[in-house]
Amino acid sequence: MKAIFIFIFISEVLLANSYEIKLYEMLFTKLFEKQKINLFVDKNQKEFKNSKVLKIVNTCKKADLVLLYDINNLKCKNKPIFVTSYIDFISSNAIGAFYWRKGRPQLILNKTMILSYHLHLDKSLLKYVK
Amino acid sequence: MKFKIKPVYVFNIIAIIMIVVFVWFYNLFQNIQKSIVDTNYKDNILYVKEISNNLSNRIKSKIKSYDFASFLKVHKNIRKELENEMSLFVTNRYKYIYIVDKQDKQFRFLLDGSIDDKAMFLENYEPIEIEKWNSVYKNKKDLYFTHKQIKNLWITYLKPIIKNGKVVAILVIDFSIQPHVKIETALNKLDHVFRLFMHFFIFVFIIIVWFSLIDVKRENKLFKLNKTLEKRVKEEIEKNRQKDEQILYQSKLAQMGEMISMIAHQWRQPLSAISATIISIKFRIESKSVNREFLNEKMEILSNYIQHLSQTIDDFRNFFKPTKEKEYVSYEEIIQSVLLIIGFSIKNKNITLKTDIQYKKKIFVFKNQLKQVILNLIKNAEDVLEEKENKEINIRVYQNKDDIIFEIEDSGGGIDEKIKDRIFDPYFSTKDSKNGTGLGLYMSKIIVEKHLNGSLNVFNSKKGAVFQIILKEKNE
Repeated sequence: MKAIFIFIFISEVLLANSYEIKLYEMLFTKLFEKQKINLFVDKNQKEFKNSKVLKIVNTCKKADLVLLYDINNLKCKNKPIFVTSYIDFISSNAIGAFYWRKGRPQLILNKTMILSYHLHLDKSLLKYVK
Repeated sequence: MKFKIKPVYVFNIIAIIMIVVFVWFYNLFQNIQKSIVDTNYKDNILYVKEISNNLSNRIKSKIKSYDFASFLKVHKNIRKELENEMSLFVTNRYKYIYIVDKQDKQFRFLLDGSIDDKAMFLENYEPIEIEKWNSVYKNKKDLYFTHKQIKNLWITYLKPIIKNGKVVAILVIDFSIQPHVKIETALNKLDHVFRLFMHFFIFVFIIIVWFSLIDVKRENKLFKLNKTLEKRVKEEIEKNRQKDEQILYQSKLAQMGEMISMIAHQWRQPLSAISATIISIKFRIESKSVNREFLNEKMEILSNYIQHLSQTIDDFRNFFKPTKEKEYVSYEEIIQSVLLIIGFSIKNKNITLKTDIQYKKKIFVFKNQLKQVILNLIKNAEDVLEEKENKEINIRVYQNKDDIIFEIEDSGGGIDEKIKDRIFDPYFSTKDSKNGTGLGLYMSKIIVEKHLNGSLNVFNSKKGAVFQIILKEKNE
């Protein structure tokens, strides 16, 4: 996982956000233990267009996971949330967050919330648990 | 072998020197480039070490606890104050300045003086190359390393904040890559220019070498051609030499023939006289009227004639014997000597021979060679006049400035203008093959020009052909 993470990180530098999507694909497939995940995103939907794993849905109800770039856009209350900033992570019940800090990629997971949604917390992800 | 400096060699040498100098310059430039980068790197590190020392001391003086996190949690104002102080050092050169500590193998932010991308207090932090961060905790020594993975960052400097021999936090300074990029870009541009020049010089060098090779090939070809030409010239010279030898041999044979003919002519009269004397002796014997006195008288006559015959042979032998040394001799003597040989024949053919010798001084020449030429010219005139009615030969010797001119003019009507230019060519003759070899005038011209250092010319006068031998008065 670490190697993949570094690979994604390097690739992000070189090829912008498309590899961030790859990280989400890997992470979410591990958590949900399935290859197709319905995702509701509050913005940047176009970036997920080419993903074969993450399927963008229009409503929260159809979604397996809600990915929020801004916590204020939260509309679904019963769906697992994944955020993109540290503040949003600590101020919400998000299962995890991915964001950049001082030029370095940061991934943090909330074990309690992951388990409350009966998601699978793979061993390789334990090091990211806060 | 004489060494010749050719432009192509000069160009080659210049091209090589240019490349060597350029490589040297390029090497020098690369060393300077490396030196600039290294100096920039070291200067930055040195400077940042000083800043970090000050900051570290300041932080340690403000935080009066070993547990920075707990202290800052309580003393929010000090946290704010320190963060503001740290932010004063954030420049275009130093992008992020922050302090982290390690809690349960997890790094977290304590203070962040960064202007943008500011972290929250106690926010978890996962650095890249975390082992280096851990080593600072372990070794208690500062550390800096260059980034190849993180966008916009060049170097990260990690300074352990030590209290009572224990690392309580790490002061982190991230260097912005922008100033470094500016220097590197400028140096890279210069490097590109150098490389471009290098390629250009190599290209020019290749072109010059290529042209040189073509030139060398061309020269080799020319050299081979010259050698062949040299060989051909040598062969032709050898052929000509053989031809000349053949001509000389033929000329000698012709000369011998003429000599025999002339001897025969000279001997006819004395032989007739000898014959008559013998007949008169025989008659006296038969008539038994011979006496001692008569016999003595006739024997004396016979002896004189035989001596005359012998003298004739000696005269001819001396005449045709080539002289190896130059001698002083006058034209008068030469003409007299020639007429001694040919005079009888001329008289027999009723040819009037007039001589007008104005130049009486002696000249320094190969005597017999000059005699042979004059004999040949008189003989030619004699042959021309054989069937003419008015038979006249005029011989003149006179001086014109430095030139001594011998002229022989016949009354044969002159030489046809069409053949005048060819009469000195070998094997050219107007006589039938029995009487002419075509070598007489050719050999005469060669003798005059090569042995006597003069010239033999011909022109037509009103009466006939005029042959002219021109010799220099001072012929040393």
